[in-house]
Amino acid sequence: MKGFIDWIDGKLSLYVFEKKDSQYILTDTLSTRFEGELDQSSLTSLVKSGIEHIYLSVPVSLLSMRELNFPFSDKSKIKDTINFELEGILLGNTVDYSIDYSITDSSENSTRVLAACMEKTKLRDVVDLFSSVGLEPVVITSLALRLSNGNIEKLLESPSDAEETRKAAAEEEIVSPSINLRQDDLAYKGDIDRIKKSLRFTGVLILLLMLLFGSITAIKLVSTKKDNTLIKKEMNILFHDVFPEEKKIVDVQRQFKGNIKSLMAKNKILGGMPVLDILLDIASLKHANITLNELNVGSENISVKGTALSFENVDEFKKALSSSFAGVKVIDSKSSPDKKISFSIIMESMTHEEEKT
Amino acid sequence: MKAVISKIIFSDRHTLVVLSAAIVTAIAAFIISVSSNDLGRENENLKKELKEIQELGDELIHIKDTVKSKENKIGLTDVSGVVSALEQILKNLGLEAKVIKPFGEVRINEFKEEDAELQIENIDLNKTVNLLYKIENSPVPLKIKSAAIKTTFENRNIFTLNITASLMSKPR
Repeated sequence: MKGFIDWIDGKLSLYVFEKKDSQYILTDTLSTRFEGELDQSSLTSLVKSGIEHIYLSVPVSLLSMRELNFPFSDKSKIKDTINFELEGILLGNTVDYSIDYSITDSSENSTRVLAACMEKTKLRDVVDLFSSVGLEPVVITSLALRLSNGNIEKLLESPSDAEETRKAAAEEEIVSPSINLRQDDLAYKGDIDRIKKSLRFTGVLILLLMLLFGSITAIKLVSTKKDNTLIKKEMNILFHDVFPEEKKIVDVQRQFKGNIKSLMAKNKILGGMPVLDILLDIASLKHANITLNELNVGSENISVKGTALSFENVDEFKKALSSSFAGVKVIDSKSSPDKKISFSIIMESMTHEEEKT
Repeated sequence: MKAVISKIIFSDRHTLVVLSAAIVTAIAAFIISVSSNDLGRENENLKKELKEIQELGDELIHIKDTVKSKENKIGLTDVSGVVSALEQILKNLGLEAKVIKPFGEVRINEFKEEDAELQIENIDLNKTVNLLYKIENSPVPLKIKSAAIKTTFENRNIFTLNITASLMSKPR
């Protein structure tokens, strides 16, 4: 919702507009009369909730109007030079005025403008007065300027237009203000302040969240580092237990791996095949229906050959061997003329399997 | 709106400071988080390795002792060759070999292996076990590389034994 305050001498009207599609529809009107100077008490009756932006039309009596001619039509040039053109025409210095203009006539090489000037002190008072009741105007314009169509004589007459005409003009002003005296240091900054506040608030929230996240991760990092030190310490102790002759520990993990590797390699070279252990493992299975005829122990694998009473016995023997050996496979099993089953089993020792992994 | 916000951010000192601090903190938190995760992963791996080494611990000490004992044997003894070492064992057990055939020397890493094939016929299980034990626990650094035990056709309690044994030494 947008509100337009039409201030004419002795009367204040608030037109409330609501945007529907692309048009502003008048939804409410509030009016109040006052005598003498405008004060807060007169304004409080116009306070209405839900209005986002207030547009204010000031009476012509607060403005100094000057008609100027420029020998060009470039609007930016007009804006740049209007202050110099008004110098000497206005009472006092132009820097003390808030100045805007409305083009009343324009041709290719000339432009006639109607300059609306308002003393900054007066303008600040007006802004402060309206702001004090929560009706800070976003734009300060003049309906009279729009209604006079640039006719300065009509402008100086007391406002006699019907209220309906003024309401229509107010709607047009909301869409495209003819002038806006809130400029430069007196420009409306409410939205920017609001964005600033919300940005700061968001920033502080993000900062707090990040600090919290950072603190949690920092605590986690410290605890993980402690764990790391403990594990390495434990590894060092274990390393000392296994390799007490190694005094210098630089990278316990690497040294451990290296030493284990060289130890395993030496063991493989020096150790040989534990034939007695293998014999013991096989003999301890004590399978009654199995008779072994041959045992071959090589560096790569172990094979046993024998006879059994049935294929089932062979399978049971194979399963029994699996508890002491790795990769146990029956490579041959066949029935012989004496109704016995002759078989061949191939396997690997467990330590050989571990070395491979 | 975007232009207004960026204008505010870059013109308002307080907002800029707060947002910069938030960005710096976010970057720092991200870096800490990444290193913490990396270290966590490293810890997991270390724990796994530690567990494996702990499980291997006793076995490692045993292997180490075995290796040390064999190395000591290499340093202490002075034998003329694998054949004489095997003959000495056979003589002590009262056994006679059908074949003792030397294979020559092979160098493996820092060690030297001198291989020989030993064949004994008509040997019983008890003597076989004794022979294997004597070779494995010989005061000279002998090792069994391969062994084949076969029963004879005539008597299942009598075996033919084929052993490839090596005498370990360090090259001088």
